[in-house]
Amino acid sequence: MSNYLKLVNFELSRFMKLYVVMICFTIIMQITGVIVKSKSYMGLANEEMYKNMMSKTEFINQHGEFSFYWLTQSIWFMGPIALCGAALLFYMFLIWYRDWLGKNTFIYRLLMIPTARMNVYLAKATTIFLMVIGMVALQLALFPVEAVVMQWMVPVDFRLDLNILQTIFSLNFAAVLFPLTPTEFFLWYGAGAMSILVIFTAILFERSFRWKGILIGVVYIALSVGLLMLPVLIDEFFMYGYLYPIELVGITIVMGLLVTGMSLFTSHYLLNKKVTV
Amino acid sequence: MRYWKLLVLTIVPVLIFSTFYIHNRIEASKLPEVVMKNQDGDRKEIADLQIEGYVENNENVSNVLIRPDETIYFERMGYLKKLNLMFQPEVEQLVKEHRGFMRGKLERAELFYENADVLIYGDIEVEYKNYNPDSFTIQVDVLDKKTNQSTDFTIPVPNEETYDYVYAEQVFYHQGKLSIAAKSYSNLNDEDGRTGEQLEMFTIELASKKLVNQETLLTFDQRDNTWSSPFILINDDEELGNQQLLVGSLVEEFVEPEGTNIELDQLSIYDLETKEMKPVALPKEWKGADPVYFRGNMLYFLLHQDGKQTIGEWNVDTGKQEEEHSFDWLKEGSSLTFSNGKIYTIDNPMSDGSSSILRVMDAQSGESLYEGILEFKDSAKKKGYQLVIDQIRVP
Amino acid sequence: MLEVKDLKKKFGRKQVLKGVSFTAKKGEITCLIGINGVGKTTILNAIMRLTAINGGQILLNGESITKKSYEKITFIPDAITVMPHMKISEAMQFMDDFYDCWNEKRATELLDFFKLNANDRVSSLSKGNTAKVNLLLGLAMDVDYVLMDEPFSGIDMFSREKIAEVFTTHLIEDRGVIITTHEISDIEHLIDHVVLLDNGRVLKEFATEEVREQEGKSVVDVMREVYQA
Repeated sequence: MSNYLKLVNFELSRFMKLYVVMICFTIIMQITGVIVKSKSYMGLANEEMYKNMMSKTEFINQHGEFSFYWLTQSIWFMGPIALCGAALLFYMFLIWYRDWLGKNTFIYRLLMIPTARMNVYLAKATTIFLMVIGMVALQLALFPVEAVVMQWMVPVDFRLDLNILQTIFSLNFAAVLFPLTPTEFFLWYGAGAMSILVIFTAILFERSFRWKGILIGVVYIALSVGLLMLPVLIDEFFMYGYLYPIELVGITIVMGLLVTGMSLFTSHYLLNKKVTV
Repeated sequence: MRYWKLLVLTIVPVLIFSTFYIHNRIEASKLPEVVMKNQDGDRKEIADLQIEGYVENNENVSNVLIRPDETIYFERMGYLKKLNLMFQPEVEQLVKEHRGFMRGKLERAELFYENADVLIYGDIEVEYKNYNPDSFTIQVDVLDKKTNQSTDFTIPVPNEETYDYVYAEQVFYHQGKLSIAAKSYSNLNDEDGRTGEQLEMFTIELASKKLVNQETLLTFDQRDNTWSSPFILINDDEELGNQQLLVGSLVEEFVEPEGTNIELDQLSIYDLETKEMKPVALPKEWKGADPVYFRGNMLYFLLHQDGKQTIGEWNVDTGKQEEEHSFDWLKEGSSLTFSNGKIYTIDNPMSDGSSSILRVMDAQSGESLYEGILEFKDSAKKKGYQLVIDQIRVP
Repeated sequence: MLEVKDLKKKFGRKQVLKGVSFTAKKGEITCLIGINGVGKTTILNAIMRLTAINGGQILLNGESITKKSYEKITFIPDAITVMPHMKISEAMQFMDDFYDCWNEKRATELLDFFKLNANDRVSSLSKGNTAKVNLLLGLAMDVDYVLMDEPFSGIDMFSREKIAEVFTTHLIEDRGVIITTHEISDIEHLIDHVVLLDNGRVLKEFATEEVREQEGKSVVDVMREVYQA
């Protein structure tokens, strides 16, 4: 346990600088976005009202009130999210390959630590998981901050204040990133954790069998996705509506646990018997 | 602190997410409770009443389901509860009682018939070939409640090649026979590209599992600015054996600039036993009336006259309008529903300052059976809320 | 006693090790000799479970190698295996964090012996000093066996001398050492036991003292005999 925690902390440290940069980048971009978008909106309002003699009501009727929606559709908002998402996805691979392919092959050290090799594996998975959760939490905490900045910038008459749930609903990817109930949180992020383990298993296949391993890895991922989708596919094509939604979710959870168990077991085997530095 | 990175990255997200969920919980708990207060009469009258609608203020719109003693908001429901949610309370009840039988059946209460002995499901299944509807099959499943055994069978729709599509609207049962009212679409190859739409009635004898009758009840003429849709009301009088149906066509015409104009057409009473169609002739002023209820020999229509809403009663046997009961309390925009010979009405909408009156009356005598008040609990604290009712349901 | 029994390893279709067996004893320096590509590194990797094997057994004091064995055997690969941005002190801290057998006192001693500065970053070190840090991280552990892969290759003469000097000090003590090399001149006088490898097999295994005393031959003499035969 203690070795596992030490390893998690160690893995976090290795990516921390870049992670802090990502956090700062997101905060700066989004807050700047609020300011830029508010200013351009107010600029437009002034132009229409003073130059074109439009009334306030006319202006709002024509252009709409300023709300979070203006921001969420812009590169200022989506850019950092997309970039951080891509970076974390990329790091899911890099967290392994940097140890093999980087200067001073660090994987020697990691594999020779007198602890179960699964601790190394789980520490890497935990690191990715914590970083994803951390970024999502950051975004969640940023919403109210950005709302306050918006209130400074745009007078109340021009503004449509959205509460946090409405803000989330205005983002189309939100249902997955910000689950609305704790149950959904555990289901979605549980599925996320499972995906990390499936990808890691595929990486270990490649690390164990190289070229042949890539093929096995791809097949492994397809198999996992297939198992997970099986209840939905069966319900869709063979016995339409046969399962009640709660049963479908239940069976999918069981499948998810199965895939998770399968990934842990396979990874354990590969790390101990097949992997090559 | 050696583990500070790990601690920060664990504790901060946990704090943020818990705050988020606690905040949501608190926000949802701020939504107003709707209470029904007794004024007059027996509360038993509203025991099965269910109001569907939404509560809104200038920030939020929340769907709500109101029962006499509880206010159910979607926002407050846990994920698993939401999963079990069904659109129709009747179906929800059926699933609760006959989970196995209800498997794989469409969640549409109109396709089920239930009495003390049996639960019957009837539908017309459409099979697709190259993404086009290709064949149509009548599906019947009968559950014997005593033995808990079910019998299912299928019958191909005769002359299926003449149809483009067949859609089951509602099922009826009378003396061992199941009747499925279905809307059929067939392309007439008309120059104007019109489609032929009809209301068909398929009657199946359950004992022999045979289609014993098929007839066309109504034909709908679809023109450029008009759209016809069938309506079917069953005679709610159980003593008469639920064997009569009021059928007709609701013709919606789009007229500029007033908007949509709705008229009744081909109004008839169909007898499930004799298979007779008897036309109903209404006075001209009732052209735009809204048929709402059929019980015994009485038809009930919602009439809109001089900006007022009232209920007109039509006696089928005499072919005359019954003397009007005093419905003068009925406001324009009130929600109302009929069930078991009673009228249920609620003034609509209701806001935090005011309350709505909920009334239950005997449809035939006009006698008031229950009167209550619908209002927000602690209304002083719930500023700016308004309840808009979509539908009142009494199963 | 560390026993390698009938070790087999394939890379693709190529059988690199065709059944290698030898034994290394505590308190002795065992040298695996063979030309490049003969599979010396693979043998060490296999002992450390860093590569899958296709057959054979590796036993430490009669038991299979497990994660616990890493407290008894340490491996010093031919290149340093700490991340370049780490300071020497951080690398030492890492070892201290994860190994119970890390000997802080000996580490400090080795730091002095090699004249290294703990605050230097690994990436800023010369080749010779990098090799010394690599050696330090292995030797500072209280283990029974040390495996060294080509400790002298690619570094300057003075560093080589300094590293060879370690073997004569108390810093090695009575540990068993397995060392691979393809040129033994630097340490010929230090080794106790030689395993000559070629073509995936052990050609000859002998004790240097025996050969020297009974046949009057040096290790190089025997190598010449074996490889040129």
